[in-house]
Amino acid sequence: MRDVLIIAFLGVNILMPLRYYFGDEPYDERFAWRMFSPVRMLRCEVDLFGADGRELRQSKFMHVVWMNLLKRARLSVLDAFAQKYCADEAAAGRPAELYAQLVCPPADGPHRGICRRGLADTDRDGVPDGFNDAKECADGEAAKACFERTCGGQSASECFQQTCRLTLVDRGQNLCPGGSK
Amino acid sequence: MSAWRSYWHDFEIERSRIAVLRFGMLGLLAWDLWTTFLSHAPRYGAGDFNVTQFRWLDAVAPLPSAAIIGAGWLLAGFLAARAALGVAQRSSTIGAALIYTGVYVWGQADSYQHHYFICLLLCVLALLPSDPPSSDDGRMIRHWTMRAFYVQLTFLYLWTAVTKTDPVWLGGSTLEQIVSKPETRAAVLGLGAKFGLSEQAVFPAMAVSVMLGQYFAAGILQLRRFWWVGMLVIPWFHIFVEFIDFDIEYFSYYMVALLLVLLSPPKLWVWFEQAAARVKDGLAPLTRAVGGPTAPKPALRAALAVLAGGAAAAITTQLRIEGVPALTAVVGVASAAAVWFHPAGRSLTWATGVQVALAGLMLFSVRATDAEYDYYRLWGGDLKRRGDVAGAIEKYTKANAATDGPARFYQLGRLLEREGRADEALAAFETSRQRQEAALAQELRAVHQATTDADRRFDVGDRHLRLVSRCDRLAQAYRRRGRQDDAGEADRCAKRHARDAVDAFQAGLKFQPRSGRGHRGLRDAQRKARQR
Repeated sequence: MRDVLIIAFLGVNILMPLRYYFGDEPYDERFAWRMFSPVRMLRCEVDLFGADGRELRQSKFMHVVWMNLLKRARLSVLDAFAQKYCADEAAAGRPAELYAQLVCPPADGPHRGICRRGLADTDRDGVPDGFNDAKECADGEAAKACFERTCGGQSASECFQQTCRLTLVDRGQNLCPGGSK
Repeated sequence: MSAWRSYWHDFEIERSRIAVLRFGMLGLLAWDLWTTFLSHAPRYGAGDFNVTQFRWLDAVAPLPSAAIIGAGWLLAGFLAARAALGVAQRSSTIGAALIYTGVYVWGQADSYQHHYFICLLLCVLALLPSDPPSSDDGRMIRHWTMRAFYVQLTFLYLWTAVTKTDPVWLGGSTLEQIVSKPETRAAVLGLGAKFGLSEQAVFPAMAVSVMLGQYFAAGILQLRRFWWVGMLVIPWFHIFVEFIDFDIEYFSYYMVALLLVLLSPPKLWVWFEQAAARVKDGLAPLTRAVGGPTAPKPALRAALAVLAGGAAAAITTQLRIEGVPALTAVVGVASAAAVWFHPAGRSLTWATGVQVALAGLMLFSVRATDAEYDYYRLWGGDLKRRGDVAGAIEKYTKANAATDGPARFYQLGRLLEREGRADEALAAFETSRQRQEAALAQELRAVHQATTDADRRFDVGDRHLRLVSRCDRLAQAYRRRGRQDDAGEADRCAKRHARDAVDAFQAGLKFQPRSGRGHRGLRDAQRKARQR
C-alpha cells in the first residue's frame, strides 16, 4: 500500500506537468509548477456578446476573479460561463446566444520584433520599432532585413494581426450549443 | 527493489526536525488561513457561478458559498494550529489537509500554484502516522513521507527550472516585467552594476542565474551531504522575490521556513535537542504543577472535554462572518473530542488549554488584522459591480463596523443615495470625511518621522485627493438639503485639500523625481485644483 501511495505521488508530480507540455492548452499552466513563467504575464482580450450582437458587461455576470481567468485564456471558465448563461437565458425565455472573442498574444511575444512595440515606427524607417532590438533578429542583422525575413511579404499590419493576436475563440460561433472547443 | 526500498523506506530524519517542520509549516498555514485566505471566501459561488479544477467535477460538485468556504478555512486553520502544537496531531492534520485540498479543488477561484504545493505537502504530512518507525534511541524517524517532502521540493524546483529553460525567460523580459516599481528597478540595476553588468545585461543575467539556481536547488535536495550548502544558498531566491515586491502572499515565507528546517545540518538538531532537554528539565517542576492529571478518571476527562468544547465554542461564536453557527458547532465538538481522546500519559491540562487558546488566537487573528474588514469589503465590491445594491449596502455596512479606518463609508453613501436613503447617505459621507481626516493626521505624523520618504508624501497626497472627492460629495448632499453654509464649508474643504495634494506630490517628487505614482498624482491634483 505504501508503494502504491508513493507511485501515485510520483505520478501526480510527473504526469500533471507533462500534461501541460504535451497538451493543447498552452495558456493553462495549472499543476505544472510554472511559476513566474512568461505565459503568466500575458493578458488576453476577452469580449462577450449576447443575442443581436450586444456586448455583455462581464462584471454584471461574474466575479472579477473569473474575468481575470478569462484574460488568461482559461477556456474551462468560458465553457462553464457559456453553459450557465445559455441556461439562464433559455429559462428566462430569451434567445440563448453567446458569442466570445478571445484574442491572446503569443507566449514568445516579447521576443518577436513585430509584437514587442506593436506597429509604432517612431524612427520612421518603415519598420516597426520592435525590430530594432528584437531577440529573434540575428546579431548584426538590420531591422529591415529581420522584418522581411520574419514577416515574409506581409505588411506590418497583416504580420501583426497574424503573429501577435492569436484568436483562440472566434466570435462567429454561438457558444450556447457546444462551448469554446 | 533494494534501491527503491533504501531510497524511500530506509530514509531517516530527526524527530525534532519533523516537530519543528510541523510547528513552522502548520503554524504559518493557520495564520495564512485566518488572515489572508478568509477575505477571498466571498469569491466562491458569487453570482451562482463556479468552475472546479477538473471538468468532470463540474458536473457533480455543488455550488460553494462564502459561508462554507470562510468557515472551512477558519476550521482548517484551527486544526492546523492544533496539529502544530502536538494535540490531536494526526486527526487534525488529516482534517486540515482534507479541507484545504477540498476547497482548492472545488474552485479555480484560487489560482496560486503555491496553494497547490501546500495541498500536496499537507496530504503527505497527513500520511505520516502518529507513531512511525524509529531508531532504537527514538531520535530518528524512518518513514517514506519524509522522503516525499524532499522529493516534492525537488519536483517544484525542477519543473520551475524547466519552465525557465525558455528563450523568453532567459532573455530577461519576464523579469523586467515583474520588477516594475522604479525604485526596485533602480536597486536591481545598481546591484548589477556592482557586478560589472551593463543595464541591458542585468535582467538576462538574473534570468539565467534564477534558472541555474533552480536546477541547483532540485539537485541539492537529493544530496544529503550537501544540504547545508542548499540551506545557505536557496533561501536567497525567495528573499529576492520579497525584495522585488512580487505579490505571492506567504509563499516565500513557507519556502524559507521549509528550506531552513529540511536542509539544516544534523549537528544543529543535536544541539537543538540538547537545549530542548535542558529547558524541559528546568521547567519540569512547573509542568508537573500545572500539567494536571495524565491518567484522569473518565468523569474528570469528560468534564475537561465539555469545558474545552464549551469555551472554544463560546469564543468562536464571537466571530462576525457568515457560517459562524456551523463553525462554532464543529470547533466545539472537535475541541471536546480532542480532550476526550487525548492519549493517557500526556497532560490533559495542556490539551484543554490548547483548544481554548487556539480558538482565542483565531478570533484575535481575524479581528486584529483586516481579515474581517476585507472579507466584507471585497464582498460588497463584487455585489456592487454585479448590480446588487441592497446586498452591497449590507456588506459595506458590516465592513465599516469591522474597522476604525476610513473603510467604505463613501462607497456606502453613494449606494444609499441610489436607493433614495438620503439621510443615511449624508451620515455616511460625514463619517467618511471624519475617518479620512483622522487617517490624514496619522500619515502627516509619519511624514514628520521620515521627511525624505517620498512614498509617505505620496500617501498624504492620495489622502488629500480622497478628501477632495469626499468634500465634493458632502457639498452636493448639503445643497440638496438646503444647507448652504455647510455646502460652502465643504466646497472650501475640497479646494484646500486639492491645493494640499499638489503640495504633497511636489514635495515627494523632490525626493523621487522619476516616480510614476508621483507624477500621476500631481497631474490629478493639479487638475482638481484648477477646477476650483
